Amino acid sequence: MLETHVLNLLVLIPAITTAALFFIPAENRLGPRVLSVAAGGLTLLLSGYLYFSYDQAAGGFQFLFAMDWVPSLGIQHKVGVDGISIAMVMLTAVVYTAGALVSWHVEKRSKDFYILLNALVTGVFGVFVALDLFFFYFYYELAVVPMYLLIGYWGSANREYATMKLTLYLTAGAVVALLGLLMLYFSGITPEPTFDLLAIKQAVDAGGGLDLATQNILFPILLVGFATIAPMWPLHTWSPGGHAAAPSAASMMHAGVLMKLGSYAIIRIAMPLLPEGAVTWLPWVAVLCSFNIIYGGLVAMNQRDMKFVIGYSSSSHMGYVLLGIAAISDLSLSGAVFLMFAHGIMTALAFSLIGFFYDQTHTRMLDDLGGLMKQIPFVGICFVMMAMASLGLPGFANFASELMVIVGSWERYPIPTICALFGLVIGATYLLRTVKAAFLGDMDPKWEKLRDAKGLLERSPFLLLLGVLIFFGFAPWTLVDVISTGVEPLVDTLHAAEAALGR
Amino acid sequence: MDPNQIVSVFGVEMWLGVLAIALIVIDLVTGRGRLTGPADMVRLVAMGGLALLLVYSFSMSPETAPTGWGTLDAFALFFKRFFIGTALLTLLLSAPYEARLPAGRGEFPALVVFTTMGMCMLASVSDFVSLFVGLELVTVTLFLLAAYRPGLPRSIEAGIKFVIIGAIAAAFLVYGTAFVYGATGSLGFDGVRAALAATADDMPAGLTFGLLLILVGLGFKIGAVPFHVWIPDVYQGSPTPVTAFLSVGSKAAGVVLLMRLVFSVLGPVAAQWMTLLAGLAALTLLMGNLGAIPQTDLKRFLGYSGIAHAGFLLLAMAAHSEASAGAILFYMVTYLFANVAAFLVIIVVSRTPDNAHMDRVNGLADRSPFLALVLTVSMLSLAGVPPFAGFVAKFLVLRSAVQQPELIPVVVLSLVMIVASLYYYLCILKRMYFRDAVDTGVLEIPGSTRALLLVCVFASIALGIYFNPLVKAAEAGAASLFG
Repeated sequence: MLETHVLNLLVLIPAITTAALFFIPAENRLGPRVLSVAAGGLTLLLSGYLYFSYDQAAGGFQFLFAMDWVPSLGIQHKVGVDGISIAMVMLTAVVYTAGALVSWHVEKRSKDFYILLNALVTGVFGVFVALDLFFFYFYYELAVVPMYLLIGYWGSANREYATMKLTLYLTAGAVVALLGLLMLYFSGITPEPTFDLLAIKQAVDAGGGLDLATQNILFPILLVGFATIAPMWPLHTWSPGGHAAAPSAASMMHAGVLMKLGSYAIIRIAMPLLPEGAVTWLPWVAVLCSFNIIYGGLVAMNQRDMKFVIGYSSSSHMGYVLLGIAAISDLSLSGAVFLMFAHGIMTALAFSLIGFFYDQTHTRMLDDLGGLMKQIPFVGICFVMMAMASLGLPGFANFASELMVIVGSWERYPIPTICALFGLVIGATYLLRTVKAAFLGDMDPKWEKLRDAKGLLERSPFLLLLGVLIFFGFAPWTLVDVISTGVEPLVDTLHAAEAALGR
Repeated sequence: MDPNQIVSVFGVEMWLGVLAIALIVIDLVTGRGRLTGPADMVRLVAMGGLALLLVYSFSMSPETAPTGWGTLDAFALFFKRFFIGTALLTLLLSAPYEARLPAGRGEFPALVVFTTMGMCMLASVSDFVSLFVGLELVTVTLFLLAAYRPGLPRSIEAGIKFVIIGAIAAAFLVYGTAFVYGATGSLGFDGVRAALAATADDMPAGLTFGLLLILVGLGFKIGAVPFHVWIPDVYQGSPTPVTAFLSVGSKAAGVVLLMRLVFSVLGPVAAQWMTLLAGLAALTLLMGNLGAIPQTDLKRFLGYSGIAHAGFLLLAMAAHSEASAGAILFYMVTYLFANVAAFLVIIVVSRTPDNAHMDRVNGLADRSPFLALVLTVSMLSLAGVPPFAGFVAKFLVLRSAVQQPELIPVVVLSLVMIVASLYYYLCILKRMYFRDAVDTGVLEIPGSTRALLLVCVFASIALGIYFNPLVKAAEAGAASLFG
């Protein structure tokens, strides 16, 4: 029972929470908060169940559930997870729970806030478990649009501009991807057009893939569509402004999970279905992602707003993910997926911490802050640990994953890998600078009234995120083993395509 | 010709005629000779009658046997139900508006029913003569409805514009019909179709010219560019319930005729018309979407948005397949619910002075979270965002269009326009959620209005998630069109 429906539940829990919240009276302060945190906790349990009952020896897609939705169009409600999706589902569940906890203090129309947050999470879970291209796109758009109101209503600095830009940018990417998906649907890989990802993949694996010319047209369409949200340079400009303007939980979901939808979609759809197109085009991704790493890092170094520092550092870090994807080796691709997980947790932690003191200081400008460590030691220490994780200190999941990407990519792309190494130095520079400017040195007396995170409720989201980072930092194999069961077949497919093309 | 045949094909229309006349009689008897006063009774009878007819229409089964008078295929039935449903929603919609009508409250429902009769007739016509008769019935009654507020100069202006444009469109249509008759010797759709099939390779210029003129006449109805200029003015000036009726019912009347013409009559020469329709679609998409961006009046705004949606419908017509015909049917239904919800919110927020400036919705989220939610659902459904019905509709249209490689450039344009349209629909959300209210009065939402809004919201969500039944119905309708 649980085994067949666990993935349905994963999507239904936030969906039902969204619907249920409409019926809670607006005066009820506790209801939406408790309900959302409980829903987050439930998904956390379910993702743990997925992790432990996934049969690693068998690999492939498990917990499959399929139901005809519109037979005449070839649309099914089909879900299933492999090692890659399990990591992403775990990431979403952790960030969802932490985001629901962090938003406890949102007082302005908090019910509506939670409604939108839950709707967004429904979309994100949907994308990670869907195995039908129609529903994949359905959930993908569902995850993007609630962000408009979340940022526009509860956000800060320049929010109206930032949220409009973000929504339009991501929708533009999505419709490009939609064009690619529809062309894939009609490409004739399967005798009857179908949106069933597994059926298309089976046909491709059986030697029925598209000819090289078609793949070379389709792959860049899908790549551009999905890389917009990834975000690949130069399509990244929506992201730092959006992160900066968003309220804590929204930035957490956004930088932590939403950005991963892009690279996930490339791994899940574009690469396995168009392997030869992927082999042809991925070198370009390796070039562009070097810009992500260096350019994003250098821009982050010059920011004075802490959220912008983290925002640009996110696009820098996503460069490592894209590099790992482009290098298509077992090590680099597993590292990329692991980094998606680690970066998601790390960046969620960063935004939740900044959000915590921003609510009191109403400024995130490094020039106005300083010496906060004396006043808010708990938040300060968490922030320092986040920065250490981010700059790649051993003992955090980020170190292990970035190392895997760098070692795994060296052979194929030495120059971008050197850029990536140099990026680590840049990262260390801006993170240490940020820590110094915000938390060390002399404190402005006006911050004497700042309140630290007290009690289990306030500290729990930070502890949860930090705990996950450290746990997988010390025991990376626990996650990497699962991820690589999903990665290996894909790498084999791509290597076979490469051999077929004689490269 | 057997009169029984007429009854079997046009049964619904006859009952609608009886209902309309009964409404006038009831109004005369109970109106006690006054022009003003509550007309709830008439309206309730009208709604009851329409509801009964809607149920009755579901008991009818499509007939495939052709008759000389008209066809009652699944396609016609689908649209008859659609028109009766639209009229029913329009009458429900006009409840909170009625107090603003200075006179003629009793005739209002009667006119709506007469219009519906004409629309239902158009769903079944199979020759150009009854097409013209039905279209005139629709146009003349709509002209009266558009000018229903004699106190407002804008309403009169809307009525006059509508009647002039309607006359021009009718002239195109009649002139075109004359050419077609001259070239083929037939006024029936089947005859013209046969003649087209016979001369497919070498079509006489007169026939092409005649068909083009007919296309122009119908282009006015659905608001295709370059025949769209009347739409913003007439939408803005008409009483809001009439605008809602115009935007859905009148457009659907044009769509039903165009579909019969394009998919059925022009079937043998479809390939030649594809480029023309695709070009019209591209122009309409551009004009509607770009025109909507600078608007500051809600009704004008929805006028341009309606033009944009006509572009999508034309794109589906250019694709010329069963799938695309089904997509159009689905599209119309989702458009109905989203538009009715939007106009109903406009009626409530514009209040008695009938001011539909966009600043009326500013801060709506604080004044009435319920109305803000309804308008959000409506706008997002029109924008084509999941999980709302409009998303599935756009998806179906795009799916059918991508199938034709020649249409890819227009598909790309339509995708760009989807992003543009998201911008202007989000601007309405921006006003509702991020701006302070301009009008701070208390908004009164009567129970019936609230119920209707809930129905629209529910339909927009339900059809966006569980859309298989409607897809099936639309496919059945589309299949009968291709016979």
